[in-house]
Order: sequence, then structure tokens, then C-alpha cells
Amino acid sequence: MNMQTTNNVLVDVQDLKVQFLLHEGTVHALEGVSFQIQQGKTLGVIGESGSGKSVTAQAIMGIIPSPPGKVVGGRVLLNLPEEGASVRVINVTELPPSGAEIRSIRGKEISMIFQEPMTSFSPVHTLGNQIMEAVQLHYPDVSKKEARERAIEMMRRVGIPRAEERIDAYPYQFSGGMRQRAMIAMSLVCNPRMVIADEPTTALDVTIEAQILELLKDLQKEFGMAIMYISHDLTVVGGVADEVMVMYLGLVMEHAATDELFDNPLHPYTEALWRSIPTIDGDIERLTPIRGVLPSPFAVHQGCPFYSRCEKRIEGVCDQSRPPMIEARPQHWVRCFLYTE
Amino acid sequence: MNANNNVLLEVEGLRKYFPIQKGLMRRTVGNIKAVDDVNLRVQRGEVLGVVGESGCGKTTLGRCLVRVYEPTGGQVILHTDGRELSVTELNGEEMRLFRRSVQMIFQDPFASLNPRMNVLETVGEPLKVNGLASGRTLEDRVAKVIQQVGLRVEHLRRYPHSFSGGQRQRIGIARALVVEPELIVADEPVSALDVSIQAQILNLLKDLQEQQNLTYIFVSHNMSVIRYISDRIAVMYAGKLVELGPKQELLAHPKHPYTELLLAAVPRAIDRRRGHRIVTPGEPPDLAHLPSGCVFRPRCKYAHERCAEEEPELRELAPGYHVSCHFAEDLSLGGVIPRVKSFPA
Ligand SMILES: Nc1ncnc2c1ncn2[C@@H]1O[C@H](COP(=O)(O)OP(=O)(O)OP(=O)(O)O)[C@@H](O)[C@H]1O
Ligand SMILES: Nc1ncnc2c1ncn2[C@@H]1O[C@H](COP(=O)(O)OP(=O)(O)O)[C@@H](O)[C@H]1O
Ligand code: SF4
Ligand code: SF4
Ligand SMILES: [Mg+2]
Ligand SMILES: [Mg+2]
Repeated sequence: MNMQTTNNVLVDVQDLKVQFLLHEGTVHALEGVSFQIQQGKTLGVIGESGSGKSVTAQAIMGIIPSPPGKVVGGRVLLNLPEEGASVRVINVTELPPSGAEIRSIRGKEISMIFQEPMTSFSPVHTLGNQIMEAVQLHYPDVSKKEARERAIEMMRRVGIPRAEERIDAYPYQFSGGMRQRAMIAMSLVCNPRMVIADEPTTALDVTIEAQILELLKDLQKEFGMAIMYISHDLTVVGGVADEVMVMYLGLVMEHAATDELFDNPLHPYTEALWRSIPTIDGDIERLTPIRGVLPSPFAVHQGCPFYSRCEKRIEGVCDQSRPPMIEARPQHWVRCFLYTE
Repeated sequence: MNANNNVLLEVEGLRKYFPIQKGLMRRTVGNIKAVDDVNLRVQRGEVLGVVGESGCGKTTLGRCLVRVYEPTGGQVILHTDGRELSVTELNGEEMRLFRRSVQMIFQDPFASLNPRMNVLETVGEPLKVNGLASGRTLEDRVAKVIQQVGLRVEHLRRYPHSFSGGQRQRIGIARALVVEPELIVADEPVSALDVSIQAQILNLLKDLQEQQNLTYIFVSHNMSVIRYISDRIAVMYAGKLVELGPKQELLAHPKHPYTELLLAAVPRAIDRRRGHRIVTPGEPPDLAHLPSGCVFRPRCKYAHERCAEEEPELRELAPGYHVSCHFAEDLSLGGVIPRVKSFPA
């Protein structure tokens, strides 16, 4: 199921299956996830907690904690353009997680911005040292002085005032918003082809969130990197993404260009999400909560995983087998029996 | 603010300062003015939303109102049971009356419940400590309120760990409701919940409020949530109220530059791309080092010299509409106009 078959595909996730083997049981975190990310574009990923957003990100980075995690099927291909017209294809799922090859990719070709930058920076080293380290890891020839200059330049670029002084500060000396800027500076200092942002603004005030999102968009224009933007907030994703994919319990339920998905949501889950969130400019009538509860992560679903909560379910159909992903409108994919023949 | 016998709570000049202490001697070198000269009247049966950025003093204000914190100064008057209680100087009997009239719901449904108490004990505790019920009557009242919040009687003997986040928040709500209070102060009651659970709890709070004519002071940093639940909105900045007015008017035509900034930053659901999210420079204020004059001045694009010299007071711009900006009459600020189209169809 290819969103678009162009040769600009940077990340190609194919039928990815990830499980966590815990003593209480097996969590089917990803149950066959497929999508592509185009160079220079932004893919928004939304879903409730536990839908598999972060595990998808971890799989692309090759950092699924193992044990207990395991890729049990499918693959993640990276198409890294090289000098000339050739493309280096890397199958991340086959690389040893701490081998030299994946380490040369992580942080350089693909980097990550996390929700809580406090936990992703070391508290005992200055921000500057940590950003410089990221440079020197991937460019051993760069001198310390150059690395420092590059770090300062990047910190300035992400809007940290007095970067040449602040580079010697420790993470705790920064506010939440400034720390997130520093995290972005670190993620971009090696000029990666893609940045994965996993709920990077969830812990921030809206005013700061707006600044960070705008910053990411500007940097994307300047550096041309692709962005995978993960959030549980539809409205946030709507403002940044070119295309959006909606996940539920380890499956992609719907995937389309942002305007298409927002104007014509097809999947009952996507519609239900919309009706359940308060907005600043939409209809203020009563919210309609999604009925029922999120099933246990250990549950195995023979049919559609949304069946127990779906207003439109068809008994005898939706609970019998998993709905296939189909192109219900041009370039608009949905996994639901309402749209199958 | 005209006096009116429908007033439930009056807040006058309320202040809560936290001392900044330094050195071995723990000398006080300054104050964090978490709540600074707040004036408010809350009408019986209304939902007052309090909104503002992290650290602006919302929680501190709420806690002063329910007497979790001892205010540094000012007055809080509660009109209940035909009486006028001065909340800062309650005697034993008045305290019991106060505890019955005013309850709080907390943000974190995980941290706010005692893991060693089952639902019956947790929800029944306010009845017990206030001597309102015991034995059978207590159990009956708890059972009744548990069902009102959408839990079941079978849940009574279960412990918090066996409940989901949304269910725990329901337990917290039941605990607040069980004494049949008039006023509930809810501090970010849905912020820790997943989106689909958020809607359930918001609807529950809304229904309970309408059915029982409850009064809420609803604290949140989320303007969309505030819009959904409130009748009036109070905008807080750096420990102060900067704007207070009816919801529709305040959202569509804000009068304070900070409210404009806050509204501009909220992502739009419908007008996604059209000039949304005006990005404004600047960061939330450091309450330990506030500027002279208007607290909002460093981030205000309309600031004049006067703003550095003179602190604006919260004044009544139109009946029932309060704002603290020297230039409120002259500014024409952008708000949010709701879209008629129901979304999505
Ligand atoms: N017990 C305390 N001791 C010292 N300072 C405190 C205390 N409680 C709050 N403060 C300070 O008072 C200010 C207001 O805090 P408060 O918790 O009321 O903010 P808030 O608006 O509820 O923020 P948030 O949205 O993050 O919950 C902050 O600067 C905070 O650090
Ligand atoms: N390290 C782990 N150990 C065990 N289970 C995990 C781990 N990481 C994720 N999971 C499980 O995998 C599922 C998907 O998780 P995740 O991708 O983190 O969801 P989210 O969409 O909230 O980011 C969840 O059921 C989660 O509990
Ligand atoms: S497949 Fe059936 S149960 Fe699943 S979302 Fe579609 S209608 Fe609902
Ligand atoms: S008083 Fe001055 S600085 Fe303060 S909000 Fe009004 S215009 Fe801005
Ligand atoms: Mg996650
Ligand atoms: Mg708070």
C-alpha cells in the first residue's frame, strides 16, 4: 500500500510488526504498519496513548528496547541518496541495534526530538558539550573549536538568545521552551534528512508550542529535512503536516493529505476523535466521547480493533476479520469495512 | 461589580507570596508573587474558567480559595447557608460548614488518591471527618454518588490501582460531590487524561453542574477546554487577573493584549492554515523578577512609556467586563470567531 510511488521516498515502512514479550502477556504494539515518508515533507501521526506512535518512531531509529521488544515481521527501509544519482538502501530492522552502521545513521541521517528534553539531555554536562559531542561523533575530523562554533550557530538559529554564553549552561538552567529549542538544535546540528518529533510540545504552553512549531517549519524550509511529527492532538498536527496518519492499537486506520483527512474524515475512529475534542473555533455543542474504553494492550483482535467502540460496526463482518487498507478516495487510505466492496 | 445576593464567593485583594530564601541562614531575599491582588466575584451556579500559562498562579489561587494555602493577604468571603463566612478566619464550626460547601478536584488522578483506601473509604472520608454521616447512611450516600459519576456499586471495595485514569478522576469527583457542596474548585481536572477520556469527564462535570446547579471555578491552561465548560473567563498573567468577562465576548473581542496573544497561539481546528497561530516572541514571566509597571510589558507589542511607569489596575471597562490595560479602550485586538459549520459534518 504505497501512498505515492515516487523516487522521493526516504523512509519506507513495510508491514511492520513489533511485540513486547512481558510476563503478563504479549503486547502487540504494531500489527502490520505500512507507510512512507517523502524527502522534505512532514508526516503527522496521531492516536491515543498506546496506539503505537512511539514504537513506530523507535523502529525507524532502530532503538526498540530489546528485550522485551522484538520486530516480528516487516521491515523499515531507508533510502539515503548518495553522490550522483545512486541511493543507498538500508534495512534498519536487519541491522544490529548497536552496530556501527545504525550508529552512523542515528543522529546524523535521522534524529529525534522527545517530549521531555530534560530526560534526553544529560544533567551533568553543559548543553554545549552535548551538542558538540553530537557533531564530533559523526564528523571526527571537525575540530573542537569548529564544533563549538557550529553548536553556537545552531543554537542561535533555533532562537536561543546569547547563544555564545548560553552554550556553557546546564540543561536545568533553561526553561522548558528553551530546553526544547536546544534539543532541536542538537537534532539538527548534523543536518539530518529526517527529524522524528515525538510529542515535542506536549509539555509546553501553547504560546511556546506555537513558537516551536513555527521554528520547525522555518528550519524545514531552510534545511529541507523530512519531519515525522507525532502528537495526540489533531489540531496541532493539522497545522504542521503535509499528510496525516491516524493510528489505533498498532494499526494505521486512515492516511491522507492533511486537508483531505480533515475535510473528509472517513474512518469512524477519526470521526469519533473529532467529535470528542473541544476546539477553539469549532462547534461548541456537546462533545461526544468515544464510547467504551481502550481495550487492554494484551488483547488480540480477530476483527477490527475498533469494533468494541465503533458506532458504525457491522456485526458478523467487522468482528470476523481485520479490515483491509483500501484507497477509498484518490490518495486517501482507510482501514474499514464500510468502504470495502 | 454590583452587589447582588446571588454572589457565592467574593475575593478581595487576595495575595499569596512564597518567600525566596538564600544561603545557610535561609534569609528571605524576595518574594514569588504567585497570586497578587486578585479581585473576583463568583455567582451562584456559574462556571468561571481560569486560564493562563504554566506558573502564572492558577493552582495557587485555587488552593487559597479552598484553604489548602494560607493567603498572605486579602479576603475571601463565602456566602452560604444564609451566612457570610470569612474564609481566612474560620472558627471550628464555620470550618465544618466551609468544608461542606467548598470542595476541590485535582489534576492528577494518580497522585491524589490514597492507594491504601478503597473507593468506599476514599469517597466516604469527607462525610466521616466532617461528621456528616456514618455506617449505613454513609455507605448509601457514597453508593449514590458513585453512580452519579458513572461508576458502579461493585466498585466500592476496589482500590485505586485497579482503575483507569478516567475512572480515578471519577472517584476524585465523587469524593468532592459527596458532601453536596455549592462550589467546586477544579484544578486541571482533565489535563492528565487521554483525549477520548477527557470528553467523558468534561461532559460529566457539565451535567453535574447543570443538574445540581453547582458553581465551578475551573482552572486550566487549555483555552479550548475553558471555552467548552465556562460561562465567564478569567485570564491570569504573572499572578494577576488581567481580563475577566463573559465567554463569548472575551473570546471574540479580547481587550487585553495577553488574551489576544494566548488566543492566537491556540491551534485552530477549522481555520487550520489561514493565518493561525500568530507567533509572538517572549517567554512566560519570571515571577521572582517582574518588570516595573505592567507585568505584561516585556511581551506586549502595544506597550508605551506609561506602561513602564504605571501599573494598570483591573478596572471595569463595561458592566461585568474587567481588564487591566491602560489602553484597553483604544486597542482593537483579534479574537476567535467560531465557525458556523459544524465540523466535521
Ligand atoms: N509551595 C510553593 N513554594 C514556592 N513557590 C511556589 C509554591 N507553589 C507555587 N509556587 C510558585 O508560584 C508560582 C505559581 O504557581 P502555580 O502552581 O500556582 O502555577 P499554575 O498557574 O498552576 O501553573 P501550571 O499551569 O504549571 O500548573 C510559580 O512560580 C511557582 O513556582
Ligand atoms: N518498552 C516497552 N515495554 C513494554 N511495552 C511497551 C514498551 N514500549 C511500548 N510498549 C507498549 O506498546 C504499545 C504502543 O506503545 P507506544 O508506541 O509507546 O504508544 P504511543 O502511541 O502512546 O506512543 C503500548 O501498549 C505500550 O504499552
Ligand atoms: S471496520 Fe467495522 S468496526 Fe471497524 S471501524 Fe469500520 S465499521 Fe467500525
Ligand atoms: S498596559 Fe501597556 S504593556 Fe500592559 S498590556 Fe496594556 S499596552 Fe501592554
Ligand atoms: Mg508515545
Ligand atoms: Mg497548576
